[in-house]
Amino acid sequence: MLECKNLNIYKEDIILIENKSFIIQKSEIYTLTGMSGAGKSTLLKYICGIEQKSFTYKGEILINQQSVNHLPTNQRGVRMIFQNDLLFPHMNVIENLLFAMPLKEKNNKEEALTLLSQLQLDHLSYKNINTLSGGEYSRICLVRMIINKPNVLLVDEPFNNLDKKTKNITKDFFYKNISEMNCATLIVSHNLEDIYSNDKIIKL
Amino acid sequence: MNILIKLFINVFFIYFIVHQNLYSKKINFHAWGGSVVINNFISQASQNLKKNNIDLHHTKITDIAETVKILLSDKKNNNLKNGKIDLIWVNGENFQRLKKNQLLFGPVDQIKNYTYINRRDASLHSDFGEPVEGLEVPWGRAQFVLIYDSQMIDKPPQTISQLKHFIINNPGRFTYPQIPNFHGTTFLKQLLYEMVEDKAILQQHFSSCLSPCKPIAKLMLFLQEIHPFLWNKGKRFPKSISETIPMLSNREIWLTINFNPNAAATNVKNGNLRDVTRTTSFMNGAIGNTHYLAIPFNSSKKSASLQVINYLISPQSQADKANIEIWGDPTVLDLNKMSAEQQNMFLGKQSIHVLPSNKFPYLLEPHHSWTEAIENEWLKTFN
Amino acid sequence: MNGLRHLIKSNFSYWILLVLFGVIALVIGNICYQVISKLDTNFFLIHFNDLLTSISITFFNNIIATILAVIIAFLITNYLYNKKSFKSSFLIILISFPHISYCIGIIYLFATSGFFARLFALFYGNDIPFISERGDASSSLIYIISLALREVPFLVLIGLSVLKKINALQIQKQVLVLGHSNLSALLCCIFPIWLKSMTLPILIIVTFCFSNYEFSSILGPQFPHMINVKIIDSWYSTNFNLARQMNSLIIITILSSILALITLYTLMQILIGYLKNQKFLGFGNYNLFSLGKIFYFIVIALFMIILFVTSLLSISESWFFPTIMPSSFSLRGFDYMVSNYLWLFFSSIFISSIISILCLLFVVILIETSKDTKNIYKFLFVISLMILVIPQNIMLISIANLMEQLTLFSVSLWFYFSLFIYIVPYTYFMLKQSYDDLNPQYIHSSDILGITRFKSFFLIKLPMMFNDFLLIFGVSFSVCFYQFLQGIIVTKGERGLFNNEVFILFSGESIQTASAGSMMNFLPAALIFMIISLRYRYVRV
Repeated sequence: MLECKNLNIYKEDIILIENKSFIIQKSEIYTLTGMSGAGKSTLLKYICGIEQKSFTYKGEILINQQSVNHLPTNQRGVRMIFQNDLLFPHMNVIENLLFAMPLKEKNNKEEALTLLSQLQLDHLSYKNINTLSGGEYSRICLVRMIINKPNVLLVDEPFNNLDKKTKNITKDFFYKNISEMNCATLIVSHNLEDIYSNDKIIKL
Repeated sequence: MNILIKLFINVFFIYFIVHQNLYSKKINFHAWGGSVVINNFISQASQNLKKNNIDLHHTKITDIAETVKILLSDKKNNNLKNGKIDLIWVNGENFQRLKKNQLLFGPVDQIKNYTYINRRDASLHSDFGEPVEGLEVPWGRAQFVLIYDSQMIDKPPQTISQLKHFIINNPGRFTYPQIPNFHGTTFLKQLLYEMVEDKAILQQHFSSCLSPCKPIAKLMLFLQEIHPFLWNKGKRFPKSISETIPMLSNREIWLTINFNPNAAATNVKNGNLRDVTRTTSFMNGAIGNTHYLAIPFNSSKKSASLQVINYLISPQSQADKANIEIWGDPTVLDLNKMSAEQQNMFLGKQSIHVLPSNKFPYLLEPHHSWTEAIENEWLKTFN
Repeated sequence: MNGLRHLIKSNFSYWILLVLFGVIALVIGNICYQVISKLDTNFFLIHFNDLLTSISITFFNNIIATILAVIIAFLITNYLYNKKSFKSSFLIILISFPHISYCIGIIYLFATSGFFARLFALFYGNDIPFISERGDASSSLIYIISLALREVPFLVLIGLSVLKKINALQIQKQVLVLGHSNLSALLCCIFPIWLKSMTLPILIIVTFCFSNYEFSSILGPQFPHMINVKIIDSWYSTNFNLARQMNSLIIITILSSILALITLYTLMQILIGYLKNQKFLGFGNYNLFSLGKIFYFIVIALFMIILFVTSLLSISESWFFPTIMPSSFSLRGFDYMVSNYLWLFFSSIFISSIISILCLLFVVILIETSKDTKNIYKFLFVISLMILVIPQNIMLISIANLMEQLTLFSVSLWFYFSLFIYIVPYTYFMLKQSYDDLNPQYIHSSDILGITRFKSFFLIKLPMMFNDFLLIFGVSFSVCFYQFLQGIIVTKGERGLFNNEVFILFSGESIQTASAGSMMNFLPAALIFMIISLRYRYVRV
C-alpha cells in the first residue's frame, strides 16, 4: 500500500504540487495524469527516493503504513519503470532478469525461463539487449519488474515511443500482467487513451 | 593570402641560401653531449674558431656507437664523398670497429701542433691495444681513479685487498656501473690487472688465454665474494659513473670509481660534490687511456676538420681543457716540448681534490678483445 | 572547389591510406624479416633462459601496473563524475607532464637519499642515508605504482567521457529501483559497462607500458632491468653477442606484449562475466567515493611533489642529504639551457606544432573527402593499431634499418615521418570521438538544405568542433614534443627535439641543468593546455 500525505514540490519558488494526498491500496492500479511539465515524473522520482537538484520537497510517503522518507531508494520497496528504462547492455535478456531477482537462489534461472515462456517471450531469452525491438524492450522491462515482485510499482509513460500497433500489443501486455501482480501501481500518462480504469485517476 | 604565401616561400628560400653560404665551413662534430662542462668547453672552442671562419657545430649524441652506425651505413650505401659528419670524438672498441671497416680518414697526424705530442709515448699511440697508425689524434687522457668522501673514510683503499676489506666492512657503500657500461668494464679490467701475475698477457689477444681463462674465472669469483656487500646487495647497478656522483654527494655510497683524475675537483666546484671529496687510485698502477679525435672517411670538409683538430691540440686549448675551472681533462701534450711561457699555462691552480700526478703508475688498456670476454662472462654470471 | 569535388569522386582517401598502410606494413615486415632471417634458434633458446627473470619482471610488472591503473582510474572517475563542479582541464595538465621529468621525480622521491628519506631523517636524526638494500619485490612495487599512477590521469579523462556517454547516473538509478545497493550498481553494472568501453584506452596503456623506454631506463639503477633497456643497450653495443641478442629480445617483446594483450582481454571478460552475476546486497549504500577521493588526492599530491622537487632541483646548488631545502640557489641551469638550446627549444615547438597540425589536417581531409566514412574509420583504426601494438623502440629500429637500406630520402624526412606516425593514432582516436559526439542532426539538416559538404564542414562542423580541434592539437603537440627515441635511433643524434637534449643531460653529472631542461620541457604543453582550458571549461576527449 502506498500513501502520500500533504506532498508539496517546488521548483525555485514555483509551486508544482501543492498539498497532494492519495492512497493506493494493494492490487489497485491508478493513473497519474496532467499537463506536461506538471511534475508527474518528479513526483514519481520523489516517491522512489531520487531527489533532483533545484527541487524542494515536503510531505510524507508511507509504504505499508511505514514512513520511508529517510530510507534510500533501494530500501524503500518501491520499484519504478522509467520513461526511458535501461536494460543493462552488458547482460543478455535472461541475465537482466536474474539480476533483478531479489535473492540468489539455485532455481532462479528456471523461474525466469518459466515466466518468459508463460508470457510467450521465451524466444528472446538469450538475445543480446541491443538486438531487441522497441516493443520487446518495453516488455522485457516489465518482465524484469514482475520477477522482482515489488509491493509498489511506479511506471512512467510506458508507451511513449512506440508506434500504434506495437503500443496496443504492449499496452495489453502491461495491463494484463500488472493486474496479476498484486501490487499498488501508479502509472503516469498524459494520454487519455492509455488510462486503465476511469475511476482511478489522480490529476495534477 | 597569395602575397603572404609568396612572401613565406621567399623568406624560406633566402634563409636557406644564406644559411648554406654563411656557414660554408660548418664542421659537424659528433661528441657525447651529457656533460655540461664539456659542452661548455666545446662551445667556447667554437667561439674561438669563428675567427678562422669555421663554424664548429657540436652534435650532442648519447653514444658514439650511433655515429659508427651512420658511417657503416654510409659505406654500405656507397656514400663516399658527401658524409655529413666531419669530426668525431672516439676511442676503444668504437675506434677498433671504425678502423677495421676502414671508415677513418688518415693519416691525420701531420698537423702543425702534433709537434707538441710525444710520438714515442706508447700510451698515446695504442688505443686499447689497437695501433693508432695516424688515424686519430690524441685529445685527452684519462686514468682510473677512486673518488671518496674523506669524512667517511680515513684511509682509502689503494690495493685490491684493501678494497675488499673496505667493501666487507662497510656494506652497501660501494658500487660500480652496470656492465656493459664502458666504465664498469674498465673497473673490472683494473681488478684483472691487480689479479694477474704476468701483466703482459693482458696486452695480447684474449685467445692467448687458455680456455677456461684462469684470470677471468678468478675475477668472477672475487666479484661473487664482494657483490653481497655492494650497494643494493649487488643486485642493482648504476647505469653510468655520472649516476654515482649524486649518490656519493648524498653519502648513499662513500666510494666510487671514475676515469678522470680531475672529476672530483670540477664536481666540487660546480656544487655536485661535497668539499670533503678526495681522489686516490691503485698503488700498483691504474689503467689509463687516451681519447681521440678522428675524421670520417667521407667528410666533405677534411681540411677544415684538420684545422679544428690542430686548434684543439694547441697548447692554449689544451691548457683550457686541463683547467679544472673549465673542464679538467688532463693534457696529451708533452710539456718538455713547450716554451717556458706555454708550460706556465699548465701550472694553474693546484687542488686538493685531484689525483696527485705521477704518483700512480700508468697502465696500458688491455687488448680490446678482453673487453668483450669480460662483458660476456659478467653478463652470463650476474645477469 | 572543382578540384576538391573531383577528389570526392575519386577514391583519393583510399589511395592515400593504402600508401600509408603500405609503408607501415613495410616497416613491420622489414623488422620481422630481419629478425627471423638472422635468428639463431639455438642461441635464442640459451638466451631465453638467461633472460627469463628480465622477461617475467617486464611482463608481470607491466600487466599489474595496467590493472592497477585501470582500477584506480575507475575509482577516481566515479568520484569525479559524481562531484558537482569539476574541471577536467586540470587533468590534462597532469597528462601533459613529461615522462622523463616524472621518472626523475620518482627517483628523487624514493631513493635512499631521496626526498622521503630526508623527511624521515628530519625526525630520526640520521645524517647519513641508510644502506640501500632494496630487493626485487620492493623496487618492482615502486615501478608498478609509479607507472600506474602516471597513466591514471589519461584513463580518468577518457573514463569520465565514457561514464557520461553510457549515462552512469541513469544506470545507477535503474539498479537502485530494482532494490540493489549502490555498490551493486557500481560493481555489477557501471564498472563492467565502463570497462567494455575502455578497451581502446587500455590497449594504448598496455602498449605504452611495453614500449616505454624512459621508465625502465631512468628508473634504471633502482629498478629491475626491463627488456626495453636491454634492446637499446644491445642496439648501441659493439659487443657481437649483445648485438645478436637484440633479435631474440625483439621477438620476446613483441610476443610478450601480444600475450599481455590476450591475458588482459581474457581477464576482462572473466571479470565482467563474474561481476554481472554477483549481487552485493549486504553492503548498504557504500559508494566508494571516499576511496576515489583518497586516490585522487594521492595522484595530485604525487604530481605536485614531483613538480616541486624538480623545480627545486633546477635552481638548487649543493643540495646534499639530509637537508630538506637547498641552502643556496642559482639560475645557472636555466642560464645554460637558454644560452645553448633556446633555438632548439623554439624550433622543436615549431616542428611539433607543424606536425600535429598536418596530422590533424591529414585525418580531417581523409574523412571529409571520402564517400564512405565508415570504411575510412576502419582503415585508420587498423593503421593506428599497427602503430601502437608494435613497441616504439622496435618500430623505430625498423625504420632506421629501412632508411639505411633504401637511402631514398633525407634523414630529416624520415625523422619527420617517424614523428608523424606516432601522432596519427592519437589524432585519429580523438577526432573519431568528436565526430561521434557531433549530433548528426545538424549535418542531416544541412544536407537537406542542399549545402555542399565543404560548406557544411567550414560553416557547421568546424565552428562546432573548434574546441575539440584545439584540444586534439594540444594533445598531439605534447605527444610529439616529448618524443626522443626518434632522435636516438632514427637520426642517431643528427636531428632531434628539445626532449632529446634533456634526456642526454640526464646521463651527465649535472642534475641541476637536466632539471632546468625538464622544467622548460613542461612549459609549452602546460601553456597550450591552460589556454585551452580557459576557452573550454569542460573538456571532452
